[in-house]
Amino acid sequence: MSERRDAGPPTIAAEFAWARELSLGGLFIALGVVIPIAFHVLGGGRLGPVFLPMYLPVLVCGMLVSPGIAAAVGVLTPALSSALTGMPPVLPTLPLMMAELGVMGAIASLLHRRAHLPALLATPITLVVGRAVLGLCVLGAVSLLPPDVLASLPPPMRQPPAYLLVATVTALPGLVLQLIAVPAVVALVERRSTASAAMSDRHAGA
Amino acid sequence: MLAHDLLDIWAHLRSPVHRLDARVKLVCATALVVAILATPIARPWLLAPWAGVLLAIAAASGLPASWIAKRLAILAPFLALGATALVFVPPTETADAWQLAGIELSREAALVWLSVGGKCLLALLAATLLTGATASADLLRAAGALGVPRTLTALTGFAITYLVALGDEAGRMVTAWRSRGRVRGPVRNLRVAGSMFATLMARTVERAERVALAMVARGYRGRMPVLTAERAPVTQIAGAAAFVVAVAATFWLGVHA
Repeated sequence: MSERRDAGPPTIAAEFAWARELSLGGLFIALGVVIPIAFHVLGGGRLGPVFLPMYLPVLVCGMLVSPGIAAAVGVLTPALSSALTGMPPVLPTLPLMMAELGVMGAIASLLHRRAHLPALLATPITLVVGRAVLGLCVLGAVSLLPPDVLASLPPPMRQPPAYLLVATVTALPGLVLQLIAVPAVVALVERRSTASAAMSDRHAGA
Repeated sequence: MLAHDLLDIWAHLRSPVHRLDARVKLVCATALVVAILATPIARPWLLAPWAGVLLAIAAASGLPASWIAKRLAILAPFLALGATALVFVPPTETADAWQLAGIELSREAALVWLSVGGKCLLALLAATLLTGATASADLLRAAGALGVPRTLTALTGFAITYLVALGDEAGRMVTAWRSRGRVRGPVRNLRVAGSMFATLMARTVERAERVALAMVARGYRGRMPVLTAERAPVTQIAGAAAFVVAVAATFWLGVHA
């Protein structure tokens, strides 16, 4: 973002690219709010941790926009969803999801847009990194809690590896869903964007 | 038809809370949420003053109680899940045990549940009151004026716009699906839902690109031009400062008493 300001007056193409990224980022934040509501309606709050519906728009967005915007989308999606719908709850889920999704968005963008890895390969790597970030955040949160409070938590929450294992096993259907859906949606969007760009070029040429 | 005021459904009321400047409301709400979240987890009774303040604000705002209750009800499954988990945490010593309907509960675990549940509920109540009593555009302008990075406010602004557009687009697709006749069987339904989701995603991405192009053509540079930059009234600024000091003092007294 600072590169854009330092590099002198931006061209129209750069302004459009910037506005397009903001517009796409806003769209995927909205999807990240709406899709979990659908899951909530179907499963009453139990389907969220299983299918990870908020991850799909953040991961797809990460593969379509720059790392900075993708990280902002990852941080804003759970925050806005929590403020507007109450999901995820402010404690303990919201800070963990903000950190996890923020890093996942940036990593997805770096892998797909900068390193040019195909979405099929970038998605599993991003998911693994996301789980690692979640583990680190839980470790940090647990180390901050006083011992008496720690003792009163359910057993899996006292030990970050156990918590991470339980969270990952619970979310296995969701992780598989991301592995299938994210590359498919990214391919679909990229194909349509390329097709519409080619059509615009043809019209401009004519 | 688009319902642009979907999120601002009660923002037009004329209560004392609605009349406050958006920046003042944002600062006060942030101070309150920080105090709620920073309350020691082992002492949930310290949340009582914040609950009182929020209930007073809710009463003054004139927002319908049923609307507020509906927004808060979303937390019910999470609170129920936490309450169920309490049964599986055994008391550490005899003095720690609480008897409830013949079930032995850990006192410490119950306090943690009360504290975490209370914090979630009060933070959501604060957010509900803030968004209910302020138009989303004013809130975004206030956030920008208070130094929130332009990228974040722009992204949030787009997101709020698309929330309505997405609902509208999805509604049209569901209507079209129904008018073509329902398909039978869960697998076929799932396939239709998957196709609809992919189409919705692709259509809205194209729409986002068209919106970006149109906005650049109209001179958008990450922020909409503001014709007049209004200053918050001095009395409101003084009131906000007094509120923040009062919140900080109450928090300090509660924690150190």
